[in-house]
Amino acid sequence: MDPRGRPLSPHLQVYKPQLTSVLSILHRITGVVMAFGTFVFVWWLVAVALGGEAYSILQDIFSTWFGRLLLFGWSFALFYHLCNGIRHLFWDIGKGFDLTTAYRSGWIVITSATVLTFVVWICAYTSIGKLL
Amino acid sequence: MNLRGYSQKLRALVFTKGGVAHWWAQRFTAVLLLPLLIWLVVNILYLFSADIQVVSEWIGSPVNAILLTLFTLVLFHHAQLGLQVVIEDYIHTFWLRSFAIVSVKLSLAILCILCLGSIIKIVLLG
Repeated sequence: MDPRGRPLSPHLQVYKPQLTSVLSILHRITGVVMAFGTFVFVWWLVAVALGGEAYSILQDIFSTWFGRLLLFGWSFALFYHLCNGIRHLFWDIGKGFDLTTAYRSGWIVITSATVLTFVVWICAYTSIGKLL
Repeated sequence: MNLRGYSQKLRALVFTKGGVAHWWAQRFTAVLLLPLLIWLVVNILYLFSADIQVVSEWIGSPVNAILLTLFTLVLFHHAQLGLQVVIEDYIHTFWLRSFAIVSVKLSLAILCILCLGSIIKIVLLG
């Protein structure tokens, strides 16, 4: 809310969601989600530094279905933000602004992020069958 | 200087100064994070099921420790820059916005120090 009480633009609720706008807000959401997700990275390093027991607690928590779901979500957020970030970097150098390219690159981002997420998890599970 | 002038000067100092530098820093850290993340993801796949001795030795090796330190610094800097933009876009009340930005900076700095401290401990003591 503007402190002077003036209405703020744009009024998002009057727009029909489009691929470009949805991907744009998803970039922010995944960014914020990962910023909160950094605590897992911190926890991992601290647990290794503290030694045996702290590390096994971490392993136990992230071996549960809920822990795995969180990691899966974070991995998708990571790959989405990474792929869409590359898309943004192309825009930053002035490339890919026309509508056709913006939509095509959008679909490429969704596909790449999904494929990367599944590839990583398939790799993780096939090399470590005991965690299945 | 009266209070209103001071407030305006502070506002300009906090939110308008360094906009270009902020933009470049966000891109620079993003580009740095690309290879670092690929390196980390590939290695985490290998470390995923490993026991603590393997993980500890991996972090403790000089090249990995240096890359991990670099990754930590760049990651938290990028996160801070990104969260600041989000806060600036959605929080319009001056004091609340300042409070949010400072809180995020402080929290991320603490997390970053915890990571660096852990890396140092692992390198020195295993």
